[in-house]
Amino acid sequence: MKIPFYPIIIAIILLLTIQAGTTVVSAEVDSEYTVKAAMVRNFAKFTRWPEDSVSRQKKNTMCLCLMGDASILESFAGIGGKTVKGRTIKLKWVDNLAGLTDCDLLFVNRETRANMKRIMEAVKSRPVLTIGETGEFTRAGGMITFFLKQGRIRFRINPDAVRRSGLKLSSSLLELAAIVHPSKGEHEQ
Amino acid sequence: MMNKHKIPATALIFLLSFFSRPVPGRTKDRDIYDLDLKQLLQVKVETLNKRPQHFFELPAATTVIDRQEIERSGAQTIPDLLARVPGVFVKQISSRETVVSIRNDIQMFNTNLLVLIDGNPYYNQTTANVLWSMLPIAVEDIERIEIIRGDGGTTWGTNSSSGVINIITRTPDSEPVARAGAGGGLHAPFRLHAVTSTGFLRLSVHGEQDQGWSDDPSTYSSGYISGRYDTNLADWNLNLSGRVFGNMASDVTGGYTGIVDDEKNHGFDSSISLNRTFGEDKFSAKGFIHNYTTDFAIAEAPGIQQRLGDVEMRYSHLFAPGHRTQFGVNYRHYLSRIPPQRFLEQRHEKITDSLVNLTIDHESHLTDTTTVNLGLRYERFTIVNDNNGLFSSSFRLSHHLNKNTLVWGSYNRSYQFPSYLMTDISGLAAVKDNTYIYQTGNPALDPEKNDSWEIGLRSLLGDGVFLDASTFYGRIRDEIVIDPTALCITQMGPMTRIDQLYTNHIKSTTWGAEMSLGMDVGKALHSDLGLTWFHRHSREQDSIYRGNINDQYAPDYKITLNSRYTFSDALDLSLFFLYEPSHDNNVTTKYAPPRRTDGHFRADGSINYHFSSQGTLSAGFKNLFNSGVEWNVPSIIATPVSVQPSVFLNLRYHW
Repeated sequence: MKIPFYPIIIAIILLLTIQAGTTVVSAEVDSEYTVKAAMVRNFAKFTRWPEDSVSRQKKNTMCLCLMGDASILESFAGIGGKTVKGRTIKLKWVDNLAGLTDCDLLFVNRETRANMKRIMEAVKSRPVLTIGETGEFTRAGGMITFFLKQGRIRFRINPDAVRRSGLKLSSSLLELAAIVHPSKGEHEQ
Repeated sequence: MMNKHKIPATALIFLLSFFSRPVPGRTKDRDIYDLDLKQLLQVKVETLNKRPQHFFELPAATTVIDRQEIERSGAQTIPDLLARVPGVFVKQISSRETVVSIRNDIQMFNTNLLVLIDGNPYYNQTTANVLWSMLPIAVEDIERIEIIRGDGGTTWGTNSSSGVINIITRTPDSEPVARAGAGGGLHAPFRLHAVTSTGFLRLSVHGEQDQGWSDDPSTYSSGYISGRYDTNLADWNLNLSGRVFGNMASDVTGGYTGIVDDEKNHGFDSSISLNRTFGEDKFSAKGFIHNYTTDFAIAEAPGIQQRLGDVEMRYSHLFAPGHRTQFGVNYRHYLSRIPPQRFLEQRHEKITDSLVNLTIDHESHLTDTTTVNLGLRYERFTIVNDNNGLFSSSFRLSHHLNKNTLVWGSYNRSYQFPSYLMTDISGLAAVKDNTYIYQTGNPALDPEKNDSWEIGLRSLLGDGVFLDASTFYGRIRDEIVIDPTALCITQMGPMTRIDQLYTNHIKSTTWGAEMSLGMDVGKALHSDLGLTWFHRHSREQDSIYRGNINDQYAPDYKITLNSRYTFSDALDLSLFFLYEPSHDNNVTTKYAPPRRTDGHFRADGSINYHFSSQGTLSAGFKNLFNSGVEWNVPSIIATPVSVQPSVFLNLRYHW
């Protein structure tokens, strides 16, 4: 007997599309990268870039560079176009080190295959706020590192790395963070 | 005559999804984006386990072997890694040569498994296979391997109906300034590897020598130099890569000729790719050339040259939120040149062949949880009888039952094209007394047609327990085989020559299931249990033989267990176990009596000591408890020998 596959497939599609307003996220819980994206925007609010680093062309925009697994783009798209201190966040997906030339912020996803030391080398001479997720990132000179604690996202700040970049972080941000000094042997998650 | 394809229903679904309502706005997530930091610190999050998030989005039976798995496993070859994957059968013929198949018979010459390096095909058009010993890439240079089980025809093109293996190499920015490695052992190859990188330019050198197993008098040497340059030109990502390689085997015994000779192979490949995003759209263009010469250890014969050139462009356009279409155009050119040889004859000394294909791939998120993918490919391939073009198609539907569970189903239609072996070449298949049996190609062949259906499930069952399961059913029509009744007998003095012709067709069905159950036990132990079940059945289409052919030349099942234990930051252990029952083997001519291979058990392992943050010393073993022959069908290029367990040490260091 020949099984009529196409009508069955169409029926399945119709049945699934009839489900309206299905949510898969409970009222209490959100996706990890959605929350991290929102936090990154807040980090930008609490950061001051050197006056001479914000050229006339860049006065109205703020470039957030993303590296790692492409699936995070969907979560970060929610902050693309939003403003921070009058500057509109522009997202830029970076495939290789040569793409890091005009970043104001850089988020390095844990799945990135690029060498962390090389990434930090590429941005070290410029005021780029670097945010990551791994201990390797912090040891390589990353400024803000996310970690999980009891199902909630926390972050650590490496003030030495921030100081070297010329950026200034608000005391309000420092109060909410765990402070770490990797150069003194303090370890991450 | 053009093959008709039922696209009306497919087109209906395409239109339905294209004009369906866009993905509903994520009101809740938009609220999240406007929260302040103190509020965000109170939000509970759901996270997947350590698998990349996109893994839960893939509506296909896919396994990814990443860099960490490669290094911890102690695997010495790519087939050693593939043996761990459900649905993949790996048979070691000798310490150098391996046969790999996915969801199909195990054959050295098959037209349905596509192997790519960085998306570039290494398919050998002359023999319709990939010679794993000649792949110019060592495990030290691999970033990850993606194994797609099932039909990849619409996305990847012809001759990929049972699966695609895409080997992704390491990039300049993933490397330290320099790294080097050396290794060797008992019945294991001696290996040297070195890499240097500036972050934009990467160079690597690899060499190895293998003394072969005890029953194998051959020794093998291989090496390559490769380079890759990545940069940005304005908003374009550009990368250039190239490789020069060679290998040699001494005292190789031809499977049918019995002649002992050396085999020398050498070649180069080169590629250029350009990528750019235009807002939400993406454009990519790629050019690739692969040229090599091999002599297959045939006495007194010059080399066989093969060249593949490939140019491709793709453009991905976002029509509306949640609806994306990719358009592609590809041109491929093959050349095969076989000078006159004693045991291999070609109707034309040089064959060239061209392929043009056009693809459309559309993805629509019908809702937040349901996605549909449609693909169409049009190909014109001059090697086959039909010059009017063929349509391949694919349909995939995936649905998230919840955040941690994805179910999917698919249908694929694709084609396989015969190799030059089947169309233009006469090759010696067997010798008995003074009778020489040749398999002779038929230039008037049609493409083989494949239809496959599969459904799958991927789920995080609980804390650290992950399930990936799929089941499939496939149908192959017009599969080309030798017709034993169509013989051409020529008497040449004391020698009798019998030519068996590729004129016959069979139809086959395959079905089976694969499952991988991953478990984290605490933070230190991770295990993956893999189960494979496979069945194939064939039947004559057009000859005097009417009836069934029980020609499954693969095991009925395979069991694997892959475990990693982390003792500390400095010490970890990796173990791999495999069992396959006994099964029949045969070559493409399915009418010769099959040979039986005993069931076998295999254990591989590696203990890794990270003596510093820069260096690792590994002690490993391979083929423990394994013995006998894994696949006992000789071929013109290899004589099966008994497997030999090996032990080895590896040292690697980076700066």
